[in-house]
Amino acid sequence: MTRKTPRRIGWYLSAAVLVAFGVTSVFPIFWMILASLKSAIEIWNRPPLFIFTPNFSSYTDLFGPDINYQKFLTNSLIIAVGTSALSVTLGSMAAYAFTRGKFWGSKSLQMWFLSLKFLPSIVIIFPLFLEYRYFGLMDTQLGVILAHSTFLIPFSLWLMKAYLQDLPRAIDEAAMVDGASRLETFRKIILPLVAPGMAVTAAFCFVFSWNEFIIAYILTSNSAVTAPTRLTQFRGLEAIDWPHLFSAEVVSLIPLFIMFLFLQRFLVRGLSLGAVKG
Amino acid sequence: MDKQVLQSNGKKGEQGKKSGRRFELPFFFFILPSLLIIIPIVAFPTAWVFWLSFQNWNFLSSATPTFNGVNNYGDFLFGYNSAEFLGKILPATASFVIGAAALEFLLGLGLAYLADMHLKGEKYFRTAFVIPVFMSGISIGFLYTYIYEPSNGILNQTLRGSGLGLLASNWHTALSSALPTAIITDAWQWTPFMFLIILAGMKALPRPVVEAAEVDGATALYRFRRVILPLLSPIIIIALLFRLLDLFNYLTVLYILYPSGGPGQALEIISYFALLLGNRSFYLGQAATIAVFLLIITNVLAFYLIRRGKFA
Repeated sequence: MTRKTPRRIGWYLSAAVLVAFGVTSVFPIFWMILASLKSAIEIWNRPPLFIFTPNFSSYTDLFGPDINYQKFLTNSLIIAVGTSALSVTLGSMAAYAFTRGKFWGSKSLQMWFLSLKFLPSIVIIFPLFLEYRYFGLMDTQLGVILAHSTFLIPFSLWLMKAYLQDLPRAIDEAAMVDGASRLETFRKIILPLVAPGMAVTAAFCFVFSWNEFIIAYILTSNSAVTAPTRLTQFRGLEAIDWPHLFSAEVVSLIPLFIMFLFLQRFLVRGLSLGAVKG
Repeated sequence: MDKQVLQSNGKKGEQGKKSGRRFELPFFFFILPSLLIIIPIVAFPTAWVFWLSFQNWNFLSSATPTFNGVNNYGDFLFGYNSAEFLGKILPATASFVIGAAALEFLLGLGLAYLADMHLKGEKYFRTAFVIPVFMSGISIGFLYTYIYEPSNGILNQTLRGSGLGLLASNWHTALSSALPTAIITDAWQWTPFMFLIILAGMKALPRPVVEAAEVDGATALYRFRRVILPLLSPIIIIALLFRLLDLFNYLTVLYILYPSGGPGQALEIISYFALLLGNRSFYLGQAATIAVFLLIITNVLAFYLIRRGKFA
């Protein structure tokens, strides 16, 4: 539209608005990275410090014996990887069944599954806490993986459905005519075809699980504590330990940044769960 | 498409002509593993929440709950807790949830319209703009605690330094500005969600229709209001419902940025209220009652969304 009638002022104005919003999105993160390299005094300097001698001691402290941040990162990593693997596997299976089959109650079952995507975790967290205490799942990585998966199986189902619906049913039928059983068709024919979709879904699950706080916070106390929960412990009774907090935040951003690079193109589909093909 | 499914599944032996007598795993078995996780971890606790909501139970002082009938519900709706619940928690929830969704929608729509005009630069803008979506609520809570700090935080220092000192305020710690600050913080992270979905919708608009309006001499504003917006409305409704549902589940940023619910409980929205009741006061029965209210609200919205978007 604009190419035909170039109205320069409007063009520059709108470009300025976009640049302003883009900068607003990135600047706080940049500011946090700067803060992680400052001393506790420099962090609150007047005026705000942009040029200073970077100090990496808060990063080295993180991995020292006092904070032992690697333990929490490891927990987060195991939980996020376990959750993604479990959710994508089970979600794809369910999506296959719901897109290909129809059985008694399948419609309502699917409605219920999909609605779980929006179940606020606070609704079930206290009974789940009591249940976990009873079954000895409190403060275990497995416990958190199972709890995260219940929120991500519906998500994976939803997203994988969008991918599976794009596959012509003739493929299944051809495989089954050639003598493959339904399980074989799914494993050997369908899964390889939707593998890119599974990778995207797994990466979204990873991001959710890596960032999730409330469930991981209530269900862990010591040995399975994840990185976000550890971050909250930098808030003491009187003050916040800003340098360590910010360096810990920056470290926990690294896997997210990798996922961001990978997922950028799939964001629309992931966020709208395939509602809008993007 | 879905109507043409093989009707015969589940009934073995009727599969197809070729696969004859061989046993076929019914489709239900593909769902069973998910059910084995979801039932103990969601269905059972949900049932338990309903049961707990009729109990009086302070988790710290007594080991067992005592049956309380509908008193928890009565207290929140008519009794001694109603002033807090109906007078503070629900209005705070409504203003936060609706305010944030509305702001994000308006910004997202405007930015998508602008980005759609800038075909070349749009990609760079989008990359920068969506980064916050990936951040954890905890990180954002602390980051904004630092940025909004009244005396030495960068926001107020910048405002004072650039002669806009009048605009400097106590942001999240003052009663009057706590709610707008929370809404803006959420918009910083989640406007990209609205933006991306609306932009994808705009790109998928039937070009001939839009161009026909242009040829017919409709002004840009008229085209936007009478042609583009109506065509986009199905997508906008879906996006708004997604966002509203997520906002009802919104907790983590508030937990950090507004410890104890913010000034005058301004940000103690319903989910945060339930968390504080259960995790700070240990009133598990009352927390369960609030959870039931929340469950009803989100389920109504979720089923409407699933129907409306034809997802199931």
